[in-house]
Amino acid sequence: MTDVLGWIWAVLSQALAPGSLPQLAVTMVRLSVPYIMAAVGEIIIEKAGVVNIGIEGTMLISAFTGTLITYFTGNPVLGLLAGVAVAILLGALHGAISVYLKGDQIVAGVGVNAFAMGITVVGLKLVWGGSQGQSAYTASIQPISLGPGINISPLFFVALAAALIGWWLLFRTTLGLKIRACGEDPKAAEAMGVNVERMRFLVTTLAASLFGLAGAYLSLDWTNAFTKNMTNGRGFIALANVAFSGWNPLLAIVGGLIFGFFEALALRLNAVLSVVMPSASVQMTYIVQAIPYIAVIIVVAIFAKRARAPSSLAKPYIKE
Amino acid sequence: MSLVSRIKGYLLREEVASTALEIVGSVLIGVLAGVILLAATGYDPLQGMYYLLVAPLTTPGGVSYVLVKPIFIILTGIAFAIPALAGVFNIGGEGQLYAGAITALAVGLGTGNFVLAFLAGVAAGSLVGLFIGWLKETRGANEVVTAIMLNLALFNITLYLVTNVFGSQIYPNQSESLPRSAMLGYFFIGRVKIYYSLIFSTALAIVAYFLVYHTSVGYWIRVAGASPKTAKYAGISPSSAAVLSMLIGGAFGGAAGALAVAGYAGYIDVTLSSLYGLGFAGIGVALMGRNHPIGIIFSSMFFSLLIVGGGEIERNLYGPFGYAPKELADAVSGLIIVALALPYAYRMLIARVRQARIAKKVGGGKA
Repeated sequence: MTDVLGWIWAVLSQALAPGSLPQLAVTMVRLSVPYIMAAVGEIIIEKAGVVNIGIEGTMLISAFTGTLITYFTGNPVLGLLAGVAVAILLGALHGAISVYLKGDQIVAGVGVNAFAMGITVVGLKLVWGGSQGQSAYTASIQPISLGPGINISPLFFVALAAALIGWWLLFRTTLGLKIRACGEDPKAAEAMGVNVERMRFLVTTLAASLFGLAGAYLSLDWTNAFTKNMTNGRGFIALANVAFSGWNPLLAIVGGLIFGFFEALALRLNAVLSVVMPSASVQMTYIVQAIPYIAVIIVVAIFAKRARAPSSLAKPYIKE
Repeated sequence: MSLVSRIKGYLLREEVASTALEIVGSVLIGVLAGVILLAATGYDPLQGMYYLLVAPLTTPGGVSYVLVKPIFIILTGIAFAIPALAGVFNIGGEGQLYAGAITALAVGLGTGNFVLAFLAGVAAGSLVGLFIGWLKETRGANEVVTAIMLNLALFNITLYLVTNVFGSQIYPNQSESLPRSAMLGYFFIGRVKIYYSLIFSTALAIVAYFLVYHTSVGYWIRVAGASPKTAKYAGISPSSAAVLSMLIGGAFGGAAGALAVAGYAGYIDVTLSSLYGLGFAGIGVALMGRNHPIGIIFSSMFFSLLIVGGGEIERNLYGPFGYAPKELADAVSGLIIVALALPYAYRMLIARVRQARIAKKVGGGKA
């Protein structure tokens, strides 16, 4: 037993050695981008009283579209915009289902996730053929260099800006007050003169653009290809971040960085393991890969209790 | 006023008819989208639909294959349905299935006894379900988030156990195989091969039906889900009912995993390809079966047909982009789920049609 503890200590101390901390921080920032962006989008949507758990699927379709358009135009910015446009369309679909058709929002989200898993692989096979589960490589968004080895994606700053603007919009503007009224007490909002259905629909549609940005970031910035199921649960981690933040876009930055840190740590641990004990590292990889997910559960279990969801979340508003 | 109440009475009487319409309508929407997609990419859509929905049923081998997946997705469907009746969204069937599969494998290898292996798998699944329910009710943790995180964590942990602890000495890509004594076998009707575990899981669905509709536990769960306020007046704690429903749902998820190993394959492969997705498929199965255990038996057959049909497409449907991808079936089933989210819309549609018809009879003429 002491052997195992000593061994864990050896791996951990090497993984977190002072010299490796800057690189760990850069990785953390890189991994936090989709968690921040998607969470900010979902916070705004949920504040209006709609829940969209199709983040994962929307991100996946946007990631695919981003690669597809970049592949044919050679311009990753166009790819990014195409990813955003597709996300807005999917947002409008979700808005129509949950606002006007009074559908079950959770079920619709699950459906979008399942559809995305299928349709992106269909597209992958039709365009790039084969069964290797990956697209061709494309041009990608170039990082901003802040020093030797410290490259930060411009989209990290976009994510920060989205969080700031989202916070300002929700809590410092009249429009934000109206959005929040739709989520807390739609009847009162209607009495205030807000068209609840239209407001919810517009918010659900437009804020989904952030899911698109988060998805296209994965395939155009982080990597420069689309891989089958490349979101790998990140849309759901963003959902966890919404609960962690207590529906506050600024705290979503903190949550995104925390979840990004655990993932960065897992990557770093695997790198150290392959040096320290190459023979067993392949198997240990699986255990290490489970760490970020378990960390999310622990963080959510600690912080969720304090957060209060908007009162009318996921309840269709039916005018009398 | 009398018109409105007449329409209401009409609708209430025809609740069953509208449910049927919802299900058929959703399937049509999904299939239609598949047809459009095939046509848009230059494949023959009619041929595509033939391979997807009919071809698997034309050979004894195809029918045998269609009768395999329901063994597992009947049970993961119930794993979703019972918590759903209590108002809990159990998206963790996948993780409960992994836990059930690996535990059944471990106990089956250790004891060589099917009953013990099965019960151990059930227990493991129910613990995972209980954990999610407990986190939701005591810590306020969103069950969707914790369930997905557990799915991902358990996927990796199961991979570790399959490769590292139970890895086969002979075959590099799988775990050790269970002995005959720890497994359920199969029999033939004509040339159609049927696993005993299909009969077992169908029987479990009937048990679930009695549990939900003919016991006090099932009554608590349904009341708590339908109206938490009423439940409180009746002395039922909605949060206990929610946790209990997750415990029961998890047990069914675990049973699915146990049967995937001890009732079918006998081992687990090192990519978990034989398990992956069975839990998620259960969600669609339950939604299409409208969370009713007997309905789930039938909807599991349909989803299984879609999965097998996807394989037929990939083998037989040739077009400008080569053979059509089998994932088309996944896209179609995703759209069916989206369409199943819309009961209110169907009801509005029916009400509109009726209103128009009644208006015509009355002589108003306006729709």
